[in-house]
Amino acid sequence: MKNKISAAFVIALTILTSCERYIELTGTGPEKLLVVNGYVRSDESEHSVLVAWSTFKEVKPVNAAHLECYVNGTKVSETSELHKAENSIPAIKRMTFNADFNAGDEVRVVVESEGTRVESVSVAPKAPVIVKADTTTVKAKDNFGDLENFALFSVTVQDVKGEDNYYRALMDLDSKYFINWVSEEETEHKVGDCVDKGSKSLVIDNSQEPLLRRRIGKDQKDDDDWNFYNNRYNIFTDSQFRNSEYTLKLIVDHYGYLHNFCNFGYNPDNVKVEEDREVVVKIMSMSKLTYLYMNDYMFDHSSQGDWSLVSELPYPSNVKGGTGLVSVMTAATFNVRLPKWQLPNNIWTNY
Amino acid sequence: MPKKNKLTRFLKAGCNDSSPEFIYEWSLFGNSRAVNLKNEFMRKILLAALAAVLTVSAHGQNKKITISGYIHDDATGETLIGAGVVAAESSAIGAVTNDFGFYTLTIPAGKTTLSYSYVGCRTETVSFDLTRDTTINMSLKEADILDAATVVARKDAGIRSTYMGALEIPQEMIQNTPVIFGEADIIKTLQMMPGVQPGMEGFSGIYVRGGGVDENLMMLDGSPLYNVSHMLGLFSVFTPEAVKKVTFYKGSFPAKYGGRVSSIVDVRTNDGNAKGFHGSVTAGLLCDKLHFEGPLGSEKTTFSISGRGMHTFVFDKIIRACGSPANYAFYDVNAKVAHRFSDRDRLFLSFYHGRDYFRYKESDKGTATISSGDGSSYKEYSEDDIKANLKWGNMLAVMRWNHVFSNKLFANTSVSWNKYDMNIKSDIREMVKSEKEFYDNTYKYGYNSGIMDFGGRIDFDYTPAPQHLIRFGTEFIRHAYRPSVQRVREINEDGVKKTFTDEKTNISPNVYGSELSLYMEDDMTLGDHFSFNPGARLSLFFVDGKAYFSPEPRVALKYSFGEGWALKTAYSRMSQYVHLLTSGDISLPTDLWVPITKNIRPVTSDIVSLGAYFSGLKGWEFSLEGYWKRLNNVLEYKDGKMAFTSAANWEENVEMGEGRAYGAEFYVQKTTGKTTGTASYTLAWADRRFKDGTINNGNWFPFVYDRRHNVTLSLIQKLGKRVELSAVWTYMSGSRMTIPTRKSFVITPDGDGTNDYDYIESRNNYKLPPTHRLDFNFSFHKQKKRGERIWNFGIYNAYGALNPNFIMYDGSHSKKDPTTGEEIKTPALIKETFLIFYPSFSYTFKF
Repeated sequence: MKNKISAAFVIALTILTSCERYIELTGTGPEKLLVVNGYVRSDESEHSVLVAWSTFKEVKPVNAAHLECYVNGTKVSETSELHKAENSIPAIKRMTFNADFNAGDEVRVVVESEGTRVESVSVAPKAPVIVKADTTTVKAKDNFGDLENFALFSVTVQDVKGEDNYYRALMDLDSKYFINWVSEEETEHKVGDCVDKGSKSLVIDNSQEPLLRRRIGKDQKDDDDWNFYNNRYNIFTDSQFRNSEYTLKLIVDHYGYLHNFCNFGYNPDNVKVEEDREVVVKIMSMSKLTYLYMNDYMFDHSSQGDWSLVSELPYPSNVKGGTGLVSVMTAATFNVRLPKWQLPNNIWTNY
Repeated sequence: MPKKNKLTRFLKAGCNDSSPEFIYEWSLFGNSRAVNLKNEFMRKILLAALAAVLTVSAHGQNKKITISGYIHDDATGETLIGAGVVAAESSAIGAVTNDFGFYTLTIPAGKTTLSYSYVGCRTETVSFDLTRDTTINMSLKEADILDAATVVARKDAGIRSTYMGALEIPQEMIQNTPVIFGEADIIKTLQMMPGVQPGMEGFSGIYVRGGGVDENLMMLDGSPLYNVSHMLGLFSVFTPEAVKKVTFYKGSFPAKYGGRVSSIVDVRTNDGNAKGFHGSVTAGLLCDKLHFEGPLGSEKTTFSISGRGMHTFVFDKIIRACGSPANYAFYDVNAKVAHRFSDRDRLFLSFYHGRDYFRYKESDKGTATISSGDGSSYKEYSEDDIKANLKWGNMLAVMRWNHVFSNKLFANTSVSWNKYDMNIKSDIREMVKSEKEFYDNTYKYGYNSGIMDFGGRIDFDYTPAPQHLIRFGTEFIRHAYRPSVQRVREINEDGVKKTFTDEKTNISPNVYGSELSLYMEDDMTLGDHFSFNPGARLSLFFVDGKAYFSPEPRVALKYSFGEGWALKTAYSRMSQYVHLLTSGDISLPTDLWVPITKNIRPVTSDIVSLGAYFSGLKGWEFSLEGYWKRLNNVLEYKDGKMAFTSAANWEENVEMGEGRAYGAEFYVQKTTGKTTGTASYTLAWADRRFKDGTINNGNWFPFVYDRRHNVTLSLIQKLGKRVELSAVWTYMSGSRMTIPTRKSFVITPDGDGTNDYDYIESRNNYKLPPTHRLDFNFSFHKQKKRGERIWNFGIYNAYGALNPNFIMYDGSHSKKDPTTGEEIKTPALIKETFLIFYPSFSYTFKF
């Protein structure tokens, strides 16, 4: 009887006990991989890439590196300077360089560190044509349900013909501040003086643009949820207007683009300042790889990017010998001049 | 009295004794009735008399006559599927019974000898001198030990079939394959076949030649079943006791099958014993089973009914009474009634119902003393109740009519209704009652999803000439998909008023699809060496206002030579109009079957196979098959997505791509003698690519079950008359999973660097360690006064191999540094194994 009980106990114990084991992962490939990430845009002359070492356990800083940039095989700049990268972890360094290029040019970025040489070669994609861009003021409810003014930009884009294209919509606001009136007591400034200028990126509300809006059957505007992540970087493809035109409807909050940057200190009783505003609509043409990369990033940083149950994303890479993405983008721009606006007296000044 | 009536009385007089049964058609004598002859002596007399009568009117040898009829199991009266009839003159002249036990054979008129055979039965050889078309029904007796069946050229499955990768799964193999908890399981038996592999260790999913788990058509009596798993996939829904025949296709497919791209599992159930009331009762470690069958009134009408349920289902009330808040159970019921109107007409009604059930109920109530701010106190009574019920399962009803138009034309007409549904209901109640406060809030939640099919089909077997067996037919299925409907009701009562809030949400709208198919094929015998099977299936699927047309050519060629040698090659194209949205390894009730849409195109596969076969050694079969398979429009979740996110807008979360699989399979089977068994080895590759780039950046990557090597050895050994031992050893290369391999950073679209993140270079980049295990099963049979008693003892994973049943990534696993002794964090995989050395037993009494 005792043996039977013992046997039953052993069997029950076996059934009820599961076994947990660990398989240690040692990583694959070389212990250190040089990471180079950056966006190189045709509408800018100065560019930068972020560099660091990728290892099995952590990201390590690059202590010394040399960068060369070639456009169509010709070296256009080089640098060995490593700068602190703002808004990044300390291990990441920024390398800045100059290059001008146009659509169709081959841009090669080579980085060498501790005997490791990596390079990225890309051809700047053809830019679309922004046929026109109009703006109107519309009234709509904001996030709090209040009726507010919004600026609706209708941007008509002509697709690059004969190929699959990947775009990103951006809007910048450039402002210049001119004195348009001075009192008789004012002697230091005179009418027509440019006293300040500034530029900022505008946050695009894409809720009315189905090409950018990926939500189906939902009402909320911005919050990610289980079925949706916001296309906050406004990337899109030409799949719905291949080889033809499409008019994007981009909305900007009035406050977003009316707010001035004027840091000019003045007495509003003596000086009146006028803001000369221009909205620069940019359609960036990018590679499919960049499109996927940005899409991954948005998904990754949405509420859907919960990796406790599924694997993380394999971000695409185009850096040979290392890893990362050096994306070459070509910009099409269209300037929309807004009516001049005199800064009101009650606006903040540093007088 | 007319001559034939005298003969009837004479024949009937000989029918009182025991088997074998031998049935002749009266049309030989100018009448269409058939009678049974059960006495060996009488049979010989009749044969002699018959031969004499027929000889008188015999025509020349050039005339062809057609023999048709049914082949039965002598003991039960069950029709035998795949039984062979072959003429002694040439093994090339032969026929096999179809899914309903019917055969047609055209042979030269005059003297002939026919051999009737079936695996596990004694071969019956009879001689005739025939002059005109006739019906001969044959009953075969069980053999003492497994003996080789007579070689039949025209088989639907098996090594001698023209089809490639077509296997008949013997009932004995199903019953004796050792499995977890000792529950015989068809799907787990299939996992032993070459080219077939399980998903997670111990579970019932099958992945065939690089295909997905939803690419296998599971048919019960000719109708598809959608969810064939119980208990998260540990068991399949097929109750072995109810099953008569299992045929499995993975390489070339008869044209009558369609709807899935990787394999067909055709399960046929018992019609019921026509000779007497029989049954079995089984009590196992996990389940209890009942099976009854027998005639209803006369031998013309039979029934078969089987039920299986977990102990927890049977004793749910006791479990409740014991205070357990939760219970899980499943059950299956198979029922079938068959009626034979005549040898020309038979009617079958079959029914299946299976359900998984989970409930949870917890209540927390009590009274508390609450202190008021003014120093006084009062009593507060509160009650929290949670009740949840989850049910899911299939229901299937099929009505089938077999009609023999002539000796050369057989028809099967069926209508079927099939439903799979999943329901979740939960009630959450919060109640507080005191002198200062009262509220009683109830939140009721309901969720259901499902799929319902209503269909009809008609299939014809036509034998215009000995060299041709033409099969043709049509099928129509109306699908109704209800991906998910959610209902919420809130009841709030505050002592003054009671408010109700109702909300119904169709998370995904219902979708209706119509599927129409036409098919035709000709199983041709070209001389003594060649058999050729060209065919085609044309299918149309209407959904979302769009029609998809899929032509599916099929062709198979076999060349036989030497003593039992054969070469075969085949090409098949298959189409699939439904997808299963699943998270993969385990079968969850939330897995969702969805149809193709105007955006999601049908999956198609092109499969090319080439093989060499040898069956010249008595009782042995050898095969070596190579295959190449291309899959189009396969679905995969986009990177970072999974089924849980997909109830709504599931199309947004998946991507269509292509797949390729290729490999070689070696299979040996010993079919006769006291020792039988199989050995198989599979060398395979399987990849996927999604050009759109949302998965693995558009590059090829290995399929999750891209297992390179797969070895299975199985053995069934009769140790005397009463004891049987079966053992299975399997070895598989590890499957794939996606894990980070290093730390890196990405750049935001604004141009800033991110924090450390786990870098993954590609999907399914890590190959898990191989798995292997040994399972045993012992059966002890003893004939008792009223039946047979069988004890089964099994051990699953006998040597306790630590194969992973669940595996996940842990990026910061703590361990001690071997040099410093300090605790460090390191990436690791957590491997959970819970199927280690699982003993099981069951007791069966058959009567």
